[in-house]
Amino acid sequence: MRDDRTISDAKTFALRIWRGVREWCGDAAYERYVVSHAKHSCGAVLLNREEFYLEQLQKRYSRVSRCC
Amino acid sequence: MKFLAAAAWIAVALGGAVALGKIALYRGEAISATWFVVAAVCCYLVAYRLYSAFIAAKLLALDDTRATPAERLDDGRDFVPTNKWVLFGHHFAAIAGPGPLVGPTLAAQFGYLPGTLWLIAGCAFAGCVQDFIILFCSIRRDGKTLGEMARDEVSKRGGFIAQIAVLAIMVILLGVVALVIVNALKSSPWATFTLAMTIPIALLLGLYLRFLRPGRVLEASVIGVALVMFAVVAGQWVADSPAWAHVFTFSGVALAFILMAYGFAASALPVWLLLAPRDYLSAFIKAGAIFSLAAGILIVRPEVHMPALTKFIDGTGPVFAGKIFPFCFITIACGAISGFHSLISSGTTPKMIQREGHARFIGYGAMLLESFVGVMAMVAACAMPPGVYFAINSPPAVVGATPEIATATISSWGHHYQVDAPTMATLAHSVGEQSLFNRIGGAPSLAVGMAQIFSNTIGGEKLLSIWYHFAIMFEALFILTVLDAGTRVGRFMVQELGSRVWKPFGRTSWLPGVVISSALIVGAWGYFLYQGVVDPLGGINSLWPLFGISNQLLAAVALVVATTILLKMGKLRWIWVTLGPMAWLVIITMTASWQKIFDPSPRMGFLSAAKGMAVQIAAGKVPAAKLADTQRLIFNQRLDAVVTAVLATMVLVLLVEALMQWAAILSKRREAVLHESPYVATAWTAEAEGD
Repeated sequence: MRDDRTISDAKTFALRIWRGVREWCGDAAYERYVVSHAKHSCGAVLLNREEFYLEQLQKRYSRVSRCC
Repeated sequence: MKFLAAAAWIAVALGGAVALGKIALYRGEAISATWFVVAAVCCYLVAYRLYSAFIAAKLLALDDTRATPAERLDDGRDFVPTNKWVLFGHHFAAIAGPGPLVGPTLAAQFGYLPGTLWLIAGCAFAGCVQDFIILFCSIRRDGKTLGEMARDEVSKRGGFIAQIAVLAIMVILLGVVALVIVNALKSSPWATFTLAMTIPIALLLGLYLRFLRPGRVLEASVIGVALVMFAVVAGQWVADSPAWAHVFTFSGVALAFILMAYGFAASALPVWLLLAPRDYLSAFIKAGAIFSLAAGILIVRPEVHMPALTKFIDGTGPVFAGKIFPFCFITIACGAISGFHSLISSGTTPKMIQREGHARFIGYGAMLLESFVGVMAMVAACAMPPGVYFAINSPPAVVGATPEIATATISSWGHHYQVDAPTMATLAHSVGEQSLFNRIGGAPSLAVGMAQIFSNTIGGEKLLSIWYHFAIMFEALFILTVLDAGTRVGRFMVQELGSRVWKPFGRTSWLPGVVISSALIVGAWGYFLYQGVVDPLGGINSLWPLFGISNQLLAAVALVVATTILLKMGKLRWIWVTLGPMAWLVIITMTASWQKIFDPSPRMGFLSAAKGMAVQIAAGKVPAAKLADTQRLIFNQRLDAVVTAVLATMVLVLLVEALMQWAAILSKRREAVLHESPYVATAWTAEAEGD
C-alpha cells in the first residue's frame, strides 16, 4: 500500500517536471493558447499550430529577449 | 516550531559570516572553493529571506488580491499566466548571458576577493533590487517597457534618452561579445569547426520546426543537442587532419568579418530558419552546462590558487588597465547588477506573472542565481595557477610576444605567478590547442578552468580536450545567440528611429528597409569588433570597460525610474533602497568614464592614448607602412572617448530631470501622478492557478 503511494507520488512528481520542461521550452505553448482561446477568444479566428508558432517567434525576437 | 525556524536562520547567517570571514582573511597558498559556495549560498538565503521580504512588504506592498496583466489580459499569446517555477526558468534563461561568466573571469586579475564580495553584496543590495522593483513597476503598468515607464513617470525626454541609451549599449555589447568569440576561435580549428556546425544544425532544426513538426520544440532540441555534442567530438578529427584543420583555421580579422556576415544573415533571414532554433539549442546547453558546473564544483571542491588580492589593484594589471575602484565594479557587471536585466524585467516576464507576490521569487530570486553563476566563474578562473591565468589573458604588447618572454615576465611578478613555457605548451596540447598565449577575453581561461573541473569529475586527463571544447562551444553558442537576437532587435530599433524621419522605413517587412537597417546595425557593432581585433592591446582593455560603463549607466537609468515611482508612491522613508545603489552606480560610472576619457596614462585614457600615437607620428617614429593603421587607432581612441562622454551625458541629463521632478514633488509644487493600471480584484484561487 505504502509502495503504491510512493510510486504514485513519484509518477506525479515526474509528470510535473515533464510539464514544467515543456512549458519552459515553449513546447506546450500551442496547447495553452487553444485553451485560452476557448475561454477568451470573443470570436477571434483560432490559429493553427504552424501559424501560432510563426507568430510567437516574430513577437519574441522583435524585442529584447536575451541579455548580456 | 517558530523557535526552530529562527535557530535555522541564525545558523545560516552564522555559516555565511564564517565562510565570508574565511575567504576575506585567509592568506595561505590555496583555499577550498567550498568556502565560496557556502558564503554565497548562505548570503543569498539571508538576503532573500530578509531583504527581499522587507522590500516586498514595506516598499512595494505586493498585493496578491490584485489581478496581474496576465490574468486581466490573458490572450494565450502575449499575456499568458505562467507557473512561477516555469516563469523563473524563462526569466533566468533570458537574463543569463555571457556577462556573468566573462566579467568575473577578467576581474580575477584583482584577486578572488574583490570580485567575490561585489558579486555577493552587489546582487543582494543592487542587482536583485533593480530586477525586482522594475518587474513590479512593469506589472502595475500592464507590462510597459523601461523606456515607456521613463517617459510616463520621469519625462518625455527621459523616455527618449532611455531608448537611445539602449541602442548604444546594444551596439557596444554586441561588438564586445563578438570580440570574446573571435579571441576564443582564432587559430583554433576544433573550436571553429564545432561552432560552424551549429549553423547547419540550427538550419536543420528550423526546417524541422517549420515544416515537419511545427512548434515541437522539445523533440527538435533533443535532436539538436545530440548533433552539437557529436560536432564537439568530431572537431577533434578535424583538428587532427592537416587538410581540414587548414580549412577551419582563421585569423582574428577573418573571423570578425565572418561574424559580421553571420549577424547580417541572422537579422535579415526569417526568424524561424536560423535565429529561433539556435536559441532553443543555446537554452538547453546553457542550462545543462551551468548545472554541470555547479555539480562539478561541489564534487571536485577545487582549490583556489589565486591570491585574495593581487598587486594589480593599483591599476597596472595586464588583462585590463584600471584600479580596483571603480573598475572592479565596472568589469563585473551582469553578475552583480546589469542594466540590461531591466529590459527583460519590463519585457515578457511581467506579462506572464500569475500573482504580484511571485515578483519577489522571480525578480529577486533569478538574479541571485545569476550571481551564483558569476561566483562559479570566479572559482573556475581562480582555480588554475595564477601564472597560467595571466599567460592566457595577457596581450603580447604587455607581457611579451614569445612564450619564453611572456612566461619570464609573468614569473617576475612574484612567487604566486610562476609559470614556464613548457607548462603552457603541455596544457595547450592537453586541451587540443596549438597555443594558449594571448587568448584574451576571458572565454578560453574560463574554458580551461571549467574543463579541469569537469575532467576531474568525469573522464580525467583523457577527456580534458573534449571538455575544453565543450566549454568553448557552450560560451560561443550563447554569445552567438546574444549576437543574432541582439542584431535583430537593434535592426527593429533602427527602423523605429528611422520611421520618425521617413515612415516607410519602419515597415519591418519592407526588404530595402530590412537590408539597410541590418547593415547599419551590423556595421556599427562590427566597427567596434574590428577595432578590438586590430588593437595592439587586444581590444578587451578598451572595449570591456566601455561595455561595463554603458551597462551600469543603463542600470542607473532603471534605478532613477524606480526611485521616481517609489517617491510618487509615497515611500520616501524607504527610498534609500533604490537611491543607495543608484548613487553608487552614478559614482562608479562617472568616475570610470572620466578616467577612461582623461587619464594621462595611454593604457588607460582614450585621449592620452590618441595623443601618444599622434606625438609619435609627428616625431616621425612611425614607419610609413604603419602610418594608416596608427591613424585609424587614433581615430578609434577618440571615438571611444566620444561614445563614453555621450552616454555619461545622457544619463546625467536624465538624472537632472528626475532630481527636478523629485524636488517639485517633495516641495508639493507638483502632484505625484502615478501611471498605474487601476486595481482589479483577482478572480483566481490558489487551486485554480495550479499553486
